[in-house]
Amino acid sequence: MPLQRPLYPFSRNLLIAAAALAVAPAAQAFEFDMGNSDLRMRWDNTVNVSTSLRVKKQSGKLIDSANGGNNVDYGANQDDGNRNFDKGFISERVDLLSEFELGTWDYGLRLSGAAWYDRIYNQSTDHDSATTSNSRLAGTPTNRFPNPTKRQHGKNAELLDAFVWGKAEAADMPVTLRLGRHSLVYGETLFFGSNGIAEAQGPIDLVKMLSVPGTQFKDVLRPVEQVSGNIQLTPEYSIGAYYQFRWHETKIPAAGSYLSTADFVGPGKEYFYSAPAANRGSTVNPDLEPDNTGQFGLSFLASPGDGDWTFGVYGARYHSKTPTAMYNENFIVAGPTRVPSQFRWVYAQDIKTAGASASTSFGNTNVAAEVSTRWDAPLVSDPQTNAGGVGAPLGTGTGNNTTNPLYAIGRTGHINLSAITVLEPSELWDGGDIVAEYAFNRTMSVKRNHAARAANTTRNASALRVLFTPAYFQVMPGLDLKVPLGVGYNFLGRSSAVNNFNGGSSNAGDFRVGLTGTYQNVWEFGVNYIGYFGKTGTYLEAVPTAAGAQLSFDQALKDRDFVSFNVKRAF
Amino acid sequence: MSMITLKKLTLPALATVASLAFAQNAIAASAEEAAKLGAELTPFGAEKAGNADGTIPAWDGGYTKVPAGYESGTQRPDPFADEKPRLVINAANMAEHADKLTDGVKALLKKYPDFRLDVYPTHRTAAAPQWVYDNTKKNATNAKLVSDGYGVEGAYGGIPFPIVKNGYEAILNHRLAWQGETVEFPMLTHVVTSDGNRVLATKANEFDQRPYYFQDGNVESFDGYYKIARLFTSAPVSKAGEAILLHEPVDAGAKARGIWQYLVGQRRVRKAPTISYDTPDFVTSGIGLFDEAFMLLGPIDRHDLKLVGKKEMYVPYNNNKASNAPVEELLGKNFLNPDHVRWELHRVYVVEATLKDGKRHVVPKRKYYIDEDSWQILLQDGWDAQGNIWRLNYALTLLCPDIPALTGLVNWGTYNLQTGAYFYNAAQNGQEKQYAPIKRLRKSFFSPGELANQGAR
Repeated sequence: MPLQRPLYPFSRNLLIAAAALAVAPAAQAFEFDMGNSDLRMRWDNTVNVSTSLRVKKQSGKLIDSANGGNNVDYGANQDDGNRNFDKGFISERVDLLSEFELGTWDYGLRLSGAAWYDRIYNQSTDHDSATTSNSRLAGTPTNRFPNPTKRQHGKNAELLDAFVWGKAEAADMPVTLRLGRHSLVYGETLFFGSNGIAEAQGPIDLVKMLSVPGTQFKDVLRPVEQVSGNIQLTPEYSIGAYYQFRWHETKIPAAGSYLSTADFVGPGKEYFYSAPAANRGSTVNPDLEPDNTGQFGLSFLASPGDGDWTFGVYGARYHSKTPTAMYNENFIVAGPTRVPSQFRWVYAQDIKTAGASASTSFGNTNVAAEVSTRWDAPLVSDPQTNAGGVGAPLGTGTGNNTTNPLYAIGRTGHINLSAITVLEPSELWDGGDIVAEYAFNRTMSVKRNHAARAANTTRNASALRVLFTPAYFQVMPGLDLKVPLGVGYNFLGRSSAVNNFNGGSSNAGDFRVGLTGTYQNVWEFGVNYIGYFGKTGTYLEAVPTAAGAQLSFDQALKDRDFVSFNVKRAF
Repeated sequence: MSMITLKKLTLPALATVASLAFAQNAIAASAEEAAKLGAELTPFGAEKAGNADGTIPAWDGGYTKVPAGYESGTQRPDPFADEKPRLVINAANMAEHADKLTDGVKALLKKYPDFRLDVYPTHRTAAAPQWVYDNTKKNATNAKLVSDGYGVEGAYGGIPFPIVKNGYEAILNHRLAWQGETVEFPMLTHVVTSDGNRVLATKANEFDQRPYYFQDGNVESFDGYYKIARLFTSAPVSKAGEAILLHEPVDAGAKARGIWQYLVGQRRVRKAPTISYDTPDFVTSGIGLFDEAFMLLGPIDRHDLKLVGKKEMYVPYNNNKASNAPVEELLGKNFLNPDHVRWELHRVYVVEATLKDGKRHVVPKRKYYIDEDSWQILLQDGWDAQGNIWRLNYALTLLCPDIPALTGLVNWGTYNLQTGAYFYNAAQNGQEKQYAPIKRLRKSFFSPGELANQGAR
């Protein structure tokens, strides 16, 4: 029985939040004059109140399983994010971003942090199929979100930036250094960071990126403890470098959250069913994470002559920020067969990349190209058996993410081409822009574990993302509007080089129709419809001719279209 | 219209010159004409004498008296604070002065009965250092138009065409006008919506450097970019940390404009699309257009330019008082508070811009009113495609005797005469530093690489 959520508490909460925003002082920021005119302090707080509604009911193709649906073996592992949310509210959320800065022109400190509360993730879910809930055998009530999911999506606070920076001159060359938690990115990528040099520099907030398709890569970067710096050799040439002290993972949708399509991936993963009807499956082992050390990079940038062109050359070593492969472990005897009793996700490490970029402008269009290659890159791989013994597997084997990786490893090639065009005024719009990026990748060679490569992948894959945003000024006094129209489309191949490339589906994608605005330059608001297209199918599908599952490259979010509303302002 | 005949050329002759294609080599001033600079003409080519009515005095070297104890770059006192308006023009008496008012100003007077011009005695304050005058004299015989009239070559460190012969030269004189070498100034943008609400749209800090005006440079060492600028945004919060770098070429036909953008949080710089022409300036909620920013920004090669002539007009001038007024007092519901805005009678060049065949621009016709003394554009009228007056751009020139210069780079804005919205940009009001001359910054400060090194965000 799905729980009825009364409407009024939501409305009341939103009203309270909105009222709090409205009565707060109109100051744009707290800027403090420290007496000494060189030292400045500022403290900015941005509050975002948002809500989202699911507009389609669950598709049988995506949730049916134990009751004789299409995916007898795997459906139970791919339905929680879907079943947890009936049509209606999927998020009622308040976000706070707080940013503090203290410094002069030459040195300073920056701290930032975020906190959020989402009422939906702090109450029971709409899940009505206890037998397919991956929480059931893990001991979590089947209509509750697992605690890690609740934390990531429902209620938490986290430190973001915390670093000091300084500028100086060494031998007439300006030098800048940053030390502490901060984000950084190299290359020219706009949307497809996972297909570019940018993949090496840091984790991202994939949840945010998926929640608002067309969000640019720059808005989802997450900070890492590191030291980074730049030396301006001459006005034309500069070099940059960074060394990271810690590894952090990308924030991916937690198991059971709205955009999760696999119950056994991400925070909150608890259980993987091998035979739900028989209450059989495996429990989760902690992720096998990469080392904190061993991630660093270099860049060399040139804007020769008049600076019409900017060229970049980059090199980096890094660890995977998203889960690379699933290992089935701790095999036990179960009747006539031996089955895994545990599973764990591993992250690949020690990946090397090198690349080059070029960028210029032609009139009101800026174009950029970025080409890179990766050595020892993890290739898209099937779940692997990590068991002891030969022929009769038992226990856990020696598979890891260093000396004995079980997933496929190889060399990959990547191209990102992007453009930003500023719209000239016309009868249809006052202004605005078009931002587009094309991405291509190719598995160039396989170095290890050829057989581990996911069936159903292709050597080459291409994707496109376009965001067209006409703007309308002073529609009413003080009101500027934009109408973002976006589409992401994977039109060629099923990538073997990049996991979940542009959402992961093939011949499929997502679209966004929005209306965003600013009022009196203080209030920002948005209404967005986000939809998914392509052939409906779960993330994993049954292999037609044998036991087991394979990546389907179908659209697993097909029934997950939603509308979101938000109001934001800074203080 | 009381057109004044230029010393050397009659108006029909000017029109002919303007309509000639510039491929056939523009005409540098003769040595004989150049000799008049500093004699009957000011060093910048204006008529030194006053007018017959006595309402415009002779130019006597400009205003270079720095108040005792004044610290360069702080708020500049109004040297004419004691004066009373000698004339008040409003909707009731505007007809008597119609020939000295631009169409945009007339439209504003007609639209708002409360709007008025307080006209004060004229002070020809524009001044520059002697070396700038010396260079201007050299330029008079050396500078020539290139790139169909939209670029100049052979000029350095002064007004390129003090003996102005056509609209293209007049516009280049404005672009290359003396306003100091390296300056830092706040850029506050105040938008007043059509219902009279005042909004602070953005707050930024700009560094401008003019390699064209390095005293120790010359035409050979000059690299062709007359102005390099770097802008840092500090408000609103959602845009804090954004930065823009701009390189403006003296001959857009030979060198491309360079615009780069610093992307917050990424520590990354990307070449930006060249935003120009009639693209609405989103910072001003689209009230301003990019080629109107700072009264003129970027190419205007979709228009033909014609020097209509030089005439006496009532224009905003010497507006230190407005610059020192609190914004909440200066920015009225529909227009700048007339109590704070100083108007004077000055001779201005009138340059008409007409859209070329086959080109597109939302403002097909414009008139620029350029000060004969400082080469600052003081007012600019714009008409829509139906031929209705649509926009009035104004510069409340700031008198900086410490530089010395009269600048229109700050305290400028646009009225949309049809919707009633207006804005006031690069506002210096209430700011600690105001158009402050600073030491020359190293070239790499203006390089895209270093844009990524700006600190916290």
